Amino acid sequence: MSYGYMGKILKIDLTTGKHETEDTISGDRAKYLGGKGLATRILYDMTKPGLDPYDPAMPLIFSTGPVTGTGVPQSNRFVVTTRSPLTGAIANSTSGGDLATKFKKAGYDILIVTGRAKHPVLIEIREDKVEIKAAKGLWGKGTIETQDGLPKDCGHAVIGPAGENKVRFACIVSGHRVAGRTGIGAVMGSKNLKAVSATGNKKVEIMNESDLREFHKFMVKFLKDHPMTGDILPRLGTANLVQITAGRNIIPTRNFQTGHDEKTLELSGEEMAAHHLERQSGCLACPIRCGREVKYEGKVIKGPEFETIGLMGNNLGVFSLPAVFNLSHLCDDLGVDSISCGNSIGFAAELNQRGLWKNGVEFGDTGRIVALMREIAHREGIGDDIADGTKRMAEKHGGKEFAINAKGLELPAYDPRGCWGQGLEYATTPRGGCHINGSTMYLEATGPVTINPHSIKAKPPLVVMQQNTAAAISSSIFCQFTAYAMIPKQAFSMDPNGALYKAITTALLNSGAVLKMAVKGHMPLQVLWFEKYLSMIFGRKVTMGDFNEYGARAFQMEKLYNCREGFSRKDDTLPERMLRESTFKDVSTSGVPLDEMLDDYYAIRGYDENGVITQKELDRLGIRA
Amino acid sequence: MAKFYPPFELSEKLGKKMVEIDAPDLEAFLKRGSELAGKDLSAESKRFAILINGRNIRYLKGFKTPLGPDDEVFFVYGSGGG
Ligand code: SF4
Repeated sequence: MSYGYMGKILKIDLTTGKHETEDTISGDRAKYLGGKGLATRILYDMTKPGLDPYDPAMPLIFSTGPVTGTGVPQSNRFVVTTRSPLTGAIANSTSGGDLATKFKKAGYDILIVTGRAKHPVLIEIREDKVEIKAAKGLWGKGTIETQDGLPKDCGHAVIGPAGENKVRFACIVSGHRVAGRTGIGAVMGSKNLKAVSATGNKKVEIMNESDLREFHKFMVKFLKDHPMTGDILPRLGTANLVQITAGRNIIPTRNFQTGHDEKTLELSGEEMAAHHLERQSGCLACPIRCGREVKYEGKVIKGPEFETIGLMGNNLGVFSLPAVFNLSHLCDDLGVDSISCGNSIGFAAELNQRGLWKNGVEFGDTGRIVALMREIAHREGIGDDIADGTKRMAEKHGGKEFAINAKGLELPAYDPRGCWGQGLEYATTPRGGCHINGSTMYLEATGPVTINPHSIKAKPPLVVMQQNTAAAISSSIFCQFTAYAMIPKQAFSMDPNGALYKAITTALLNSGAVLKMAVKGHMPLQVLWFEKYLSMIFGRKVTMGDFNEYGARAFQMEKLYNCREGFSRKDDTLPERMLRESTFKDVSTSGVPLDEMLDDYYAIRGYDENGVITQKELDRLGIRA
Repeated sequence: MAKFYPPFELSEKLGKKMVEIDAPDLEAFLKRGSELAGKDLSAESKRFAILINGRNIRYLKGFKTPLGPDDEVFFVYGSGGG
């Protein structure tokens, strides 16, 4: 028995309607832990280079990790992996919601869907009973109505009209939560698959169960006592970041033309909490409850995350919270990623503003933007072009220098001109412009202890460390927000203008050489709860070094997939606007000095100067090419 | 006049998300701001990072940083998420 795993992968071919199972842990798979690490290994092994994301042979992989279903806080998560129709690179996106634990309790770790159904279908999994059913009456429906029409005892992952119509940034929705990024919903739509539902009563075996339950009590208390996970996130949700990013001048404004607006604070988390919040909400087994439910036109609906406020609000010149509530609701119901959608509409508006594409879209025109959302989801009118994302729109209409994406994936709501390490992270993360694969901005701009955001010192090794930790978290799978409690709570009450603070941040900025050693060194200790949880589940000691190595391997596996698809240094870049236009009054350089950081980053990562992973690095981590 | 975007509790009290303050440098700005807010903003600044035009005063001239018209002053706390 493999503790932490159900031991089976369920494979469903929608073309033939057949299904089969195979062992989860076979060959060298144990080295990839689970979640996105293991799913990327499987994707690589199942596909030939150049396979189109919409080819029926393209696998769509739903994976859980060894902590899923164990009751560990913030562990009810799954990740969806495939090749992105938006970027052509590796695609993955994680979500909370109600599917992960129920799917695992049905007796499986991973679901691999291939093929294409002749007619729209849904998959229903009840332990050994696996059925492909006609999606009668559900095709064409929004994600909310779709989930309402599915069996109540199951957890679900569904697409909306955007996924059906292959909008390149379509998402997958589970309960109130969203696997938003990289267009995975469009791949699901290309398979004529509307929904996956699962339930079961099997138990995830844990080696040291009583220790885990005890530790669990400690962790819940620890998270509740921590200022970030016990106060700021529950009280304000992720929208707490509006005030901070506005102050830091890094919240996208009118397609990243500036770093904030005088009206940005109308959208703050404090404003939402004081005047609109009905209640908090959260994922299963999570004591933090960072989600929001807000009052909107006499109803209670899900409130927006910070990213949605940043991109669908501020970035579009929409400075009214109720208007953002509506846009956020539409994103979820139509099934689009609010980050890519907000960027794509913002780009269309700037193209219009500059006369490059006369499309009638204007910043701040909420009514038009609402109508446009439906046109995008149904690929009607100008919505058809916008549904292809900023990269393809620029190829057709021009404006590449202000098409805000990295590798074709639109950037989140942290403008890298005010956090250069985050810029390096956007440029080098395999799935493209993403903040969840490292969140370096936390150490530069948004966290309680921040180093100089306009310095390149120590940034390359710091980004590598952050990316590896994030990849290990996404392979386990924990919620990335747990990581915010890694900073000791005392840091939150330190005087940011005091001597101690200065000493810590100066030491961090000067720690490049130590960090470089730490990235590849093997730390034999258990420092964080991640390693402790895994040790109790597996019944063997997992050290911090092991955890980081799982992360490094998962990250490099994604990199290897991209290299096989022809990605290299030319793709590890940022839009010209981020490299050459400054949004700061008095910073000596005009944008992110990416090239200055990239060589150092490649050397630490074990890539050649063209940004391609070397055999030596693959050998170091035991990765098969 | 420099623009001050106070933390939420203060802006609710003042009834404005932004107030304009005429002061030659940050020190004078905080003094003037304290009178307006009825609260010692220098003491408050121990809980917040002070940003002028998006940059932490640690990388400027601290409390002696000069302020000009249209300069923007924010107080932010450490956080995360997103
Ligand atoms: S912190 Fe928020 S996103 Fe993470 S598991 Fe908890 S409720 Fe879900």
